Amino acid sequence: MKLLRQLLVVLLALIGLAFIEFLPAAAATNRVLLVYDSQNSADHGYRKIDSLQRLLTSHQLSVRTIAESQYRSGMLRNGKYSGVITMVNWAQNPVNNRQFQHDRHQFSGIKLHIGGNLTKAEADQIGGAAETLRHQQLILSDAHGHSQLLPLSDTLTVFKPGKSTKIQQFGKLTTQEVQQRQFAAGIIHHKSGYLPFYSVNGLALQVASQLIGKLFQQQLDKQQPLLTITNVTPYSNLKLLNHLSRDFFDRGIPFAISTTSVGANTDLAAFKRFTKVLRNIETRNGIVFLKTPAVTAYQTDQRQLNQLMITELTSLGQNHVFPVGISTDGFWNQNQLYQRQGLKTADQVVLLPNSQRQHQVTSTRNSQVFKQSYYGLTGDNLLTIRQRQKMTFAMPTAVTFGMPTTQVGLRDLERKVDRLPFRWLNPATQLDAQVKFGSANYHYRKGTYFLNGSPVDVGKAGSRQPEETTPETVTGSLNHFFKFQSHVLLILFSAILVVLLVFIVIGRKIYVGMFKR
Amino acid sequence: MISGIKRLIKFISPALLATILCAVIVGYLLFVPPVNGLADNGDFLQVLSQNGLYRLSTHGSVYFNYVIEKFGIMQFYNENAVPIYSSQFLFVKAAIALNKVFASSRVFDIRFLGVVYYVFFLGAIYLLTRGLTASHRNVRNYVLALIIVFVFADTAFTIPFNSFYPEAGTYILMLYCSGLFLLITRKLVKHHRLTTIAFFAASLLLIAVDYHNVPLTLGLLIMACGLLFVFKGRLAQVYVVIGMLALIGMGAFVHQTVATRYQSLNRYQAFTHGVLQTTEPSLKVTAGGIDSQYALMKDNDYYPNTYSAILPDSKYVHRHLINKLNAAWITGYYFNHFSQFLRLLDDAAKNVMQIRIQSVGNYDAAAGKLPRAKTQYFSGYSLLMQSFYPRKCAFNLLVMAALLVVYTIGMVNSFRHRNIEGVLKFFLVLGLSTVVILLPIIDIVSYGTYNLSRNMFPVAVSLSLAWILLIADWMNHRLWGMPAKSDHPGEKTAK
Repeated sequence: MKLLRQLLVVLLALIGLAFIEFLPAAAATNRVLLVYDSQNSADHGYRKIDSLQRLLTSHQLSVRTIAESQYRSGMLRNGKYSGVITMVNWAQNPVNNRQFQHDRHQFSGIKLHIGGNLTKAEADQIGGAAETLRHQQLILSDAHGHSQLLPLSDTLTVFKPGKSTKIQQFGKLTTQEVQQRQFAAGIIHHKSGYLPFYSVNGLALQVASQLIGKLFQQQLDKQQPLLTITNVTPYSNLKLLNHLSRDFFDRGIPFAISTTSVGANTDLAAFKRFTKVLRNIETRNGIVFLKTPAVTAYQTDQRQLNQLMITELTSLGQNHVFPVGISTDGFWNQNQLYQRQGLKTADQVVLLPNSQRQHQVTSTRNSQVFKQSYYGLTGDNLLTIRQRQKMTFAMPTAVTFGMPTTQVGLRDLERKVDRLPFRWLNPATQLDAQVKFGSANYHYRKGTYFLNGSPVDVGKAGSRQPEETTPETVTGSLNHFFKFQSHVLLILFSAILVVLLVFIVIGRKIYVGMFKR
Repeated sequence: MISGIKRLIKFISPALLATILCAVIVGYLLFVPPVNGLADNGDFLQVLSQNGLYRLSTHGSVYFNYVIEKFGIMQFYNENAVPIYSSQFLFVKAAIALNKVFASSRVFDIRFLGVVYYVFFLGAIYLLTRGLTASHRNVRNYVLALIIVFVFADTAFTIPFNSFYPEAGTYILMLYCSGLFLLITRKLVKHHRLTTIAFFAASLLLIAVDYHNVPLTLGLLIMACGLLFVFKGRLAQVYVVIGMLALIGMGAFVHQTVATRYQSLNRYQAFTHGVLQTTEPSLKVTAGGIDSQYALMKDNDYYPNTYSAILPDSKYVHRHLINKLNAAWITGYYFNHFSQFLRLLDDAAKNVMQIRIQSVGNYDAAAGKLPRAKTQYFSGYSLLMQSFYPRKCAFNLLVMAALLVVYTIGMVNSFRHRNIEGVLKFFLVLGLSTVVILLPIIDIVSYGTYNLSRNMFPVAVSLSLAWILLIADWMNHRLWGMPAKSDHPGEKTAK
């Protein structure tokens, strides 16, 4: 009987084990659950979600995103995630998922609340006196003396700067009244953080990035930005692109481009021309990120995407263009198929805002983390920040400008780059990147390109590998027969036509002759 | 025995025989399980939403693989309704009405559409066979009726009846146009005017079935020219001219309303599937401010079904490529690269006799066949043509030239005998030749080699009609325009 009971206990324990999800032990330290209330399409709230996802990834945090209404009890277990982030995009329409509120309350890890609808429990955890501001246009400033005027905000719940040393503040919000009042733009108390609002760019993003870095202890202070030209395609104005790279080189500005490529027609002269311009960029202290293609229909066939990425990388490599990494739309990192088949090859990734109408913000699994992921930040918005000193970023950042289409646009772009007082990241001294796929390994280290370990001179055009020849098949030879038959019939019919015409002429003469007698 | 056959002949004319045979052969294909038809390649959606139908949910994706038999009839507001610019909706609406009366008001069975097409098709076969065989009931004409059945009841032509593809309407209406025209030609009807009106009506519907049919306007106009010889009265001739103007108007209307909606798509694919179809197009396309880089788009579709370096429907591609392309640019390009154009015309010729839509299956999922399985039932003519018909554009050109020579002689001879039959037949053959020769040219310029075999469908029908006409005239000794005396028994007495 005792033995039976012991067996039963062992059996139950085994069944119990089977239900426990397999989790890598170290992974929980950088896993974050992001719970949002609404995508709020009218206000482009999904852009904020996408931006936060990319920001977290660039902080080496692997994020899983779900809507609050989709939250089921037990999803947020202690030990599974190191932190939870609540993002409120539509404060006027609160979603009260009790299970989530309960689990969040019980959760002992890091908690961050972004946006309105701060619950009393959350406010208490943060501490300090909360105040609601309505219809204010505030000035945001940070500890380094940068400041930016924010757009008019509807309603904001803010905290007055406290004197407690336990509370850390990030940035200052100043009202524009006669008697200026100041509030914290971001606040951390113990393991709880609060951001009154979230912005996808500008100084507010930097403040958010600093706060997240501090809160999750993933501090990556003083990152130099990478100047990146986006939206380059094989169909871009290549003369202009060449011009641009020469100008940057002459001015000593290191830069990167993010370009798509093609998987077919790579034997055409147009592709040679495209890769020649890219090689020029490589020799002018520029680097190339291969942009993932535009998605036109969701494919369940995983190999197709992997095959395309390998073909693109191979055809570029054959022409001595070695991408140092992959650039992609944010949603690619939220989808398992795209992650696995599209992004796995590279250790350097530029995460750009979603350029396509389609967007996927929720994810069934955690996003992938890379050795280095650059947050794609549009450069235009940085121009409105008032700066006192050279600005650095709290996360790896790619400051992006779209590829100009005209000479005027090119000059405009160069002027903007001049106005930004950054010390740009120099790949030739600061970058060590690898792209691995199949049996090939593209390695970029300190300005030199290595193919499978041996250095390559990118100044010279690569040699193309011999094309595969297709053996002649049975249908091939049958086709030859039909082709031959077509010719024979053609000649036959031509001959018959000629004979017919001759007979008609002769017949007519005889016919007319009959009457002449 | 012989008296039995004689009695049968008394009741069953060659035309009736052909109709009965077609009814049995096609009826078995369309209505007896396993039901045959054509699977959806995605084109159905538009017709479905135009007519208040929707796809019922199926297990897994059945696009391309299996025929869908049942569709839902919307019981709610059709928010996807797009304007109707196709005469196909007449057939579909009739089918829906039948479905509602005899089966269900909620679920539409595709076979009701099959029934509608089937009935119209049998009418067309009757008229056509009558036009070719009447009024003799001899062995020759019964054989001719069998040949007509062999050609026109071929599964490749009739299988679209159980689908929403416009080929079904195109096919039936082309048969009607030719059949009605032959009836007028051979003076087999009492009411010429009514028949003429019917001919114009069928022609107008034919042009409006599908915007790809707009080039057929030219062939129909040429045929209509012949009708001017039928009527002696000035007023009647004016009416014929009005009918011709209506044809032009319909062609222009369909072009303006429907074709322009697909303008970007067609221009883009005429470029990627036509202009770029050469070994090294990079430097050839630079004329007219088009960047040579666009050569990399060779073989791309406007709506790529996987991934793409750039979206063809993006503003950038529109501004830098599609807006610079037009018929004049493409024509100019082919003028300068004539050998490429001839090669593309040969490609078109290769596809002429690929009558059946190859990419989709013919069975429904319940039949237990492999995905995209094709039926071989009654496909003798199409298989024969697919295998042995010469694949050269020059061959079609020669055949039509030879036919025109024959019928020109026929016309001259008939004219001498003060008989308009040869004249009208010449115009019929000229109209069919126009379709055979001009349609490939127009299609290559407008759409490139994209969907070539489907675009060549009217050419296949026209060629088949021309062959049958030739065979019929040869068998009845009417080929050179001298009507056999027994052809018109009443003629002598009238004189």
